[in-house]
Amino acid sequence: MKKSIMTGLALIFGVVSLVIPTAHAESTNVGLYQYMEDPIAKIFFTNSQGQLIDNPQIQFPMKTTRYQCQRPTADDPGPDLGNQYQKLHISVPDRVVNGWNVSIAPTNGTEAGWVGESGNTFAINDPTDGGCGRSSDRSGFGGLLTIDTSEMTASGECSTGCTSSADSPIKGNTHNFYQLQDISLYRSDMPHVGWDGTLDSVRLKQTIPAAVPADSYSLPMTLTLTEL
Amino acid sequence: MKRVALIGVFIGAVLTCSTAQAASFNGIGIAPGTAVTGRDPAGFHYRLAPFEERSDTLKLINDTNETKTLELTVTEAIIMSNNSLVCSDKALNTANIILNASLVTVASNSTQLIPLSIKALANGDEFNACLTAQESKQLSGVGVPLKSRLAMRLSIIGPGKPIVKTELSHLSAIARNRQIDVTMSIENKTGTSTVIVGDASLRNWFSNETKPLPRKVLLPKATIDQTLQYFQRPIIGGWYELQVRTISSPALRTAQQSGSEVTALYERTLFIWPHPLVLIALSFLIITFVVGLAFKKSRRSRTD
Repeated sequence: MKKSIMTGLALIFGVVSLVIPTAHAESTNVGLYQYMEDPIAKIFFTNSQGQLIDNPQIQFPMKTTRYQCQRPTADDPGPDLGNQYQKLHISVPDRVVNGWNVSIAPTNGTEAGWVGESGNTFAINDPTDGGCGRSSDRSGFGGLLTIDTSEMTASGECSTGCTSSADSPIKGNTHNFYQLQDISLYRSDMPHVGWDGTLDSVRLKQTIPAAVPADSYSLPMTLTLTEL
Repeated sequence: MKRVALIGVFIGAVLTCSTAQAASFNGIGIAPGTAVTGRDPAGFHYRLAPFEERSDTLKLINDTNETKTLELTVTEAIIMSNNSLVCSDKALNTANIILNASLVTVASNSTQLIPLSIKALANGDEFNACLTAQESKQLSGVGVPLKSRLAMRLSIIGPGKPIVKTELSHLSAIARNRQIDVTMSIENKTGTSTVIVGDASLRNWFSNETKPLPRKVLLPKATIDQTLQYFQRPIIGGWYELQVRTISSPALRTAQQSGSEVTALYERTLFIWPHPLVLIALSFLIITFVVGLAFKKSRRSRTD
């Protein structure tokens, strides 16, 4: 008798616990179960308070037009993609078959370069004289944008089988947009290993040729998280 | 009966935990839709005969509280000089992959399936492309306004057991002050992407150090991967055997993959100079021995 009462109570508890979370999920978020079954990759920025940034952007320090070429220096190395005020978050589910990578490319292609509000332009992909020359294949100014990952840090959590969060073989590379049209920032070749973390201190270094006209320049860029 | 009750409790507990974790998530994403024969369940990787076609779906996920408009594109997959496969911004104009929408509005907290049709190439060679999704918005502002994009590689290879053939095209070692830098170049000799694992070891009678290759590599077809591995420089020099073991397997997870792994062993013999301190100590010992011997000899000749 006691045994059958216990069995009955266990069954009731089982059914109740099946019903309660379902009801809760439906009242708050329709797609809850689907997301658990099928986690997705995410890439986004947050501010120092952990709030989502809708329109992230990197600001280069203000420069004055000079009659000499301006190269990045130790005192003025260029801004970082990923810092304490603008954290770059990446989350990858462990269903990823062949690893994943994060790359960066100019949204309008490398040929478009920097475009000023008054219509002035200068390049990001002209290696002539290290970016200081006049562009040979364009009528405008030269210029070269380099992405330096030597100081990059990757910190996060692996789902399984991963001993180091900074396992990217790409760390330490320096590439410019003359060499490559898309530049990989981070690559994980670990299949079926999820990762959730942040990338910091990816440095952008722009060489500005002499006599580039004063203007407010912009260079839209796209970060891509690719599941391989 | 008792068993049924326990299962009931177990299912209830699992669902309770799942719901709690799910509540913390929000964002937009893409994933493969419902399962399709000949496609990896977790990614858009197909094994199809020449000209074979498949109807599939791309799942768009919007787990935010806002309606999102997403731009969808089939783009080129480019292999960069550092062997990274990246998804370019260029749309791929091909009749082999057709995504039935380019601008889609997804309601908040919902998913949507977009029809996708795939057709294999005539020659059965590996074909790579990317499916990308990004929020539709114009970037504005001075400086570098940033936009993020999600991409999934889409690959098609022929049916049957994939051929795996890799070769160690270069193996060299340089002894530095405290370490030995070992450079390896592994070449994928086939037309199919390959995953490589393995280890490298440096050994002789006195020491034996084995290290796993630093990573599992998705080595795209017909490319060479350069890997640098560091070993601690043995204090005692001499002849050492450098051994690299690679296990190559197709970069697709399917039932047909099992048994396709190929293991290869490569060996080189190299001479490593003893550490300078050991050389100094050895020289000191030899000098002491010679001086001692000479001293003993002169003493003996004096007593004689």
